[in-house]
Amino acid sequence: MPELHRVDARDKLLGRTRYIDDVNPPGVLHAAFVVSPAHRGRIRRVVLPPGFDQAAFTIVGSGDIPGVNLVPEPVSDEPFLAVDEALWRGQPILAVAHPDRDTARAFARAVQVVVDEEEAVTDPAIALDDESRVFGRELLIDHGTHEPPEERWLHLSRTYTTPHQEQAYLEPQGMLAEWDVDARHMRVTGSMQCPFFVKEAVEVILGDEVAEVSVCQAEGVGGAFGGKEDFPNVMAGTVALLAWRSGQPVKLVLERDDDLLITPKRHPSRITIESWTDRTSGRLRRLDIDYRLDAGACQTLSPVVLARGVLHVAGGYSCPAVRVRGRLFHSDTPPNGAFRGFGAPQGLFALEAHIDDIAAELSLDPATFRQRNVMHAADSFPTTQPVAEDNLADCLNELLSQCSYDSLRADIDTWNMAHRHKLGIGLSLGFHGGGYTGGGETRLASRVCITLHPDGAAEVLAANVEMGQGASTTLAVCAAQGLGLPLSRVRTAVPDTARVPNSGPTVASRTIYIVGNMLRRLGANIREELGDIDEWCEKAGDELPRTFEATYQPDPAATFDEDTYRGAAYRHYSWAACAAMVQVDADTSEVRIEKMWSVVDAGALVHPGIAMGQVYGGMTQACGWSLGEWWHKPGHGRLGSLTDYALPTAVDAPPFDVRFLHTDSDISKGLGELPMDYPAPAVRNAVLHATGIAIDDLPLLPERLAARLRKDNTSVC
Amino acid sequence: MSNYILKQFSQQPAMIDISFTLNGETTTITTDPLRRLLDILRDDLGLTGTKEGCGEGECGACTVLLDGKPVTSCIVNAVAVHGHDVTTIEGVSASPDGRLLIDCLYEAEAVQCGFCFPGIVMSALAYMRAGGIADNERIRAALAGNLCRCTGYEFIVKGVAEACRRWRDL
Repeated sequence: MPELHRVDARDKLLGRTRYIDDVNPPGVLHAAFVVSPAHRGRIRRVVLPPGFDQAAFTIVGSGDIPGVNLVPEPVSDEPFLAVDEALWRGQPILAVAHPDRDTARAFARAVQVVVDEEEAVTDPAIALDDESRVFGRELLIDHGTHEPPEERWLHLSRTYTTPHQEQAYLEPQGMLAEWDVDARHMRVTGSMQCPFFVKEAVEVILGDEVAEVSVCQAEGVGGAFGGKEDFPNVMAGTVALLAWRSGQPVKLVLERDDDLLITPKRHPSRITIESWTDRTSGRLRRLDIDYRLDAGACQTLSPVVLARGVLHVAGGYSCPAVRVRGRLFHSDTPPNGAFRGFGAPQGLFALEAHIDDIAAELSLDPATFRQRNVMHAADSFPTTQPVAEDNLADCLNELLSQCSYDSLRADIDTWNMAHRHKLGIGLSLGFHGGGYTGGGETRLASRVCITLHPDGAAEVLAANVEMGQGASTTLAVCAAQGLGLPLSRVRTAVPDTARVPNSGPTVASRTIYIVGNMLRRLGANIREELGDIDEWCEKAGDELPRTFEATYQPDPAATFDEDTYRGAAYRHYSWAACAAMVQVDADTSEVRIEKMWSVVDAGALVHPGIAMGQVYGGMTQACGWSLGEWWHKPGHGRLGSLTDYALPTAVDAPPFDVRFLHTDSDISKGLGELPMDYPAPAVRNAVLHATGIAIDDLPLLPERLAARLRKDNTSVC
Repeated sequence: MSNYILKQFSQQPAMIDISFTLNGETTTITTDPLRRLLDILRDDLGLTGTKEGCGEGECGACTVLLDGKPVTSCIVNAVAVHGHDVTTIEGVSASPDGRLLIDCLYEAEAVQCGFCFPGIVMSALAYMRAGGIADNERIRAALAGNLCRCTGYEFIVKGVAEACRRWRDL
């Protein structure tokens, strides 16, 4: 079989792929937000600036919304446009549109918004320490056996924190709305992960004014990582409102500083882990975890992030008694949202750091301690769900031989005795439940279609977007595998709600795991029904094109009680083990990641090259989160540009040695989020090995490390 | 700096004629001398392959070659290109080294969302044309001005290294 390359790569390389900023229908108006300058307070008045021909602008505020001014979310508590209260700095208050983009932006920035400012809390450290700020449902997992801890067990309690993280997709948020006044049809095209979410948002904001809404992914979506899961609802609602009001096409592309100011980020966390470990056996006996997320000003989808967070925070370890309490805390910042990992990276940072802290107390090698406690088949998750396989232990063992762990660690210890700049190696384990949590996939009831066309081509119809992760190629590969056709005969349709069935949002590592596996089965069923597809197509004649459909089939045995958090939270888990080698500069305390190794189990791979690209990219985002990405820097306000917000460059990203665990599984498991979940604590643990300093707060900034080195009166030198 | 900030200083700019070579062809436009090269390319000339990611010269998505050197076109003004040579992503496939680079990145599975790639290709092409060799560290340094959030750079470096290797062998 010839090597298969991504179907979208060549056009993207040549600059031919059209992203939404490249699309300008005749008569298009350009939009911009007017946002709150205050963190919190009553909006007293809005003064339009002099020096502009105000008749040339379309201006809309909350009072112009014919439908409901609430963005549809798991908890719909965020207005599209602010009403009387400003809830965070950067909250959209008005939207304006003008034929000239720069004039629209200049006008929006010149609008004066007067707010009676009230006291606001924007620092996650303050918000997460104040129990009066808890809002939304508290989650509790507590199914273990609670013997009283024995005196001789090691008792350790530590608190770990992680910061905001900006998705920093290279293409800023962008959306276009076109209004057909006669048909009362609103057509929306843009940069998004979830076309059917966007469709619902436009229906909500326009109410009875609209007869039909159709939503299509722009040809190119320039990265998303969760950042284009829910905010496109706000973008689309706003441009649709402007298009309805003006009767003209309206496009809104955020400038980078607005994108950084307005849109959701990864939730900051504060996680306290109290552990009891048997000193003799080196086995975990009990974990008591307090998991806190800073949700920002509204709940929106944070309860779902919290759910995944509490279900991942106990890590891939066997422990007979685990109690996890999860809570959301309110702060006066943008509602935090989806970002690759979705609550798991925060929990795994805390847990995997804690594992090294326990190992240090017991004077055990961190690898040995992990080997003694890693999950095996027949162990169970804190929800009582049985663990199905030994794959995490296999990942760990393969990783240790892959990086020659024992000899490398010994070599590093020898090297460090003779050198000022210290090396260190750190480990971490990770896992990620595929698809929606609990009964989510059953409720979604995803549908997919494959259409056979007269020219012999098969077309995949699904709502999952190509946002860089390779879905337009991999979904076609899945269908081709089922149908027994070459990839050249199978293509994936551009997701357009007018054409494709609702196969659910492009989130939760579910595109291949749920939709891809459905397509493979549907393809196989078609082949079984029709026999030789080429022969059948020749005979079918007028019957073509013919469309075949499948609906997601839940496993009746896998149930999850969403009240008690007992049962099968996810049907399949992906697993990984990681090692990071760092060098800590003796003069600057700067941490440099020299190399990273990982062994990953994602089941049957659809496309090895694309899968590998997902792992490299996710791990690099985790490197950025661990070392330098810091959006809310206390004392510096929030960082409004990519110059201040330090993303890893080609020089910062380490070389990787990644291998996939070989298994005989025929299921393709989730892969998108996993590689973001676990590398950060490996970096932290490597710094601990290098310096003896355990930093419990991300990012691992040189100034933090230097301060600790001074405080502990030790020196890397 | 974006145009709306410039407009505060010059509400009605004096327009001037700018002549430059664009992808091998002489191009003359009448424009505000402070207009960003990025806007001239995308909005005035319809060459939308060059992307805007940050508007402040940081992300590198808008990289073009100015007299063969990579520059971020969001912080280059119209006057700066008068009499000079500009190559954009649309001009890359006209050259054999450009085609080779595109092929190698394609085969390396380097692309994900693609938004940074028009800029990455321009920086990598400048590296090749400066006699760049298949050395990972040097390639990484040459690409340090181009942010990519998707890929972790590994396959990009591999693709560029392969292009350097094959170009030398030709």
